[in-house]
Amino acid sequence: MESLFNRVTDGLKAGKSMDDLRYELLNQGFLADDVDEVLAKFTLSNLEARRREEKKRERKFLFKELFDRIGYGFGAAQFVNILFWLSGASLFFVGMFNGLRVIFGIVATHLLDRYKNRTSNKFIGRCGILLGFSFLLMAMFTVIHQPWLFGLALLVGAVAAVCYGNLYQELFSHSVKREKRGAILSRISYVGLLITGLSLLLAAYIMDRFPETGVPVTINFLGMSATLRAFGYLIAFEICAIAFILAGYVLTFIKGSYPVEEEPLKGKGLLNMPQLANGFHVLMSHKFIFLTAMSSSLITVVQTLANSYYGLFIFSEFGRSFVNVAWIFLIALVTSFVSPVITRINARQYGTLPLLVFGALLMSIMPLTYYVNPTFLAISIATMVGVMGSVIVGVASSIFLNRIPKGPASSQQAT
Amino acid sequence: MTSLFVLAMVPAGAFAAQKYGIGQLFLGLGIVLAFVVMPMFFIVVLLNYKKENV
Repeated sequence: MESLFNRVTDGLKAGKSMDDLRYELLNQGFLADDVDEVLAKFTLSNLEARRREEKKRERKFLFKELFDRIGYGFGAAQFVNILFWLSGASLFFVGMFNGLRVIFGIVATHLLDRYKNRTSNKFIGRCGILLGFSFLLMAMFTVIHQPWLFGLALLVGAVAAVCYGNLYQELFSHSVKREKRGAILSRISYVGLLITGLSLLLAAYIMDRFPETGVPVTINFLGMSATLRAFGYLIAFEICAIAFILAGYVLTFIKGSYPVEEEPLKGKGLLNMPQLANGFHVLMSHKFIFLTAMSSSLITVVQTLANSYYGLFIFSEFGRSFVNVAWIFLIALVTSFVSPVITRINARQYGTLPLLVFGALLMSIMPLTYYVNPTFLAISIATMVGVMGSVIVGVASSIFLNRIPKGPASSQQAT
Repeated sequence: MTSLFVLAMVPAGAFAAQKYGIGQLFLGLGIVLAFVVMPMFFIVVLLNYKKENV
């Protein structure tokens, strides 16, 4: 029996299939029952090993997700904008760099789409680590009051965030099947929301407890004492940086296949001119597609500008408190989570297109309330309404744009 | 197209925020949404309705 076991081990190591091995061993004079028994043991141990491997991978994904959510909470966009302003940047500078961040994000998304099949887990993980370091740099440049360098770190972080976020989503959905996700991983959007919310509040508390001027902290060690100035934003952004660095580091160890595009890149330039021309033709041949594209672009501009200043406005209007900013954006976070469900119900009831008008109306309430009635309650409700409106417009326009014809031939048929 | 539009419009908005204050910028953004974007979407709905029913 032992020699049979050794032969099966050697055969499997040599890459022979179970059927070939069975046939070979039977020809060598082994009993069929003995061969089947040994092969069954191997099959079971293989299955167990695969299951163990899957569990290990799932655990790594879970750790990565949890670190990510902590990072997103501690490094919320509104805190970044406030710190940018505190680093000495003017309002113009804050808005300008947020605009550049959007453009860099669009360009990075475009490049990622084109060179997707050259990426790997390690590349995505390294982008996460780069994102972490960009937060560390932002905190440092706030301390030394260098707005230009802060802006550069912000742009690097924007590109890293796009690479990290977009590619990871594809890797995750390709590597871990929905039905094979564990109890926490399958509910990660709910658990993640809770962790991000708590991290957001904790970061705001730390930044309020140790304000931007710094609080002297005395450390006594072995009879020696040293006094340091503790900055809340430095602590919060360091936690955020560590969380992203760890998440990226964990990702580099995950063994998973990245979905590879079958279409070769050969012959395609940076800009796909035929595709661009086709898109332009579709845009110009339908009045309503042109109008939708124009209004979507306007909405992007309005959202970019408004999101650059909402946090700053709340921070300066309500006693320079980060906790107030955190509460209002926690409301926005929860609203953005429940809004898609409400949108889909309404889209079924009233149709997609009327929702665009309704969404734009809700969106306009938010900045107008900030101007007309800047009280905490009014701003909280307006934020809720505005976020719901932007989700409605986003979902409705994506449903609408998915319905439009893609090629010139079909567009002519449609008209 | 969105990139070019953002590239052109965001600095103008940021300049307005710097010169007239964030409150005034919010007023302007609210007006753009309520009186430019919303009517544009309304026209889209009407055009689509006409296309489907004529």
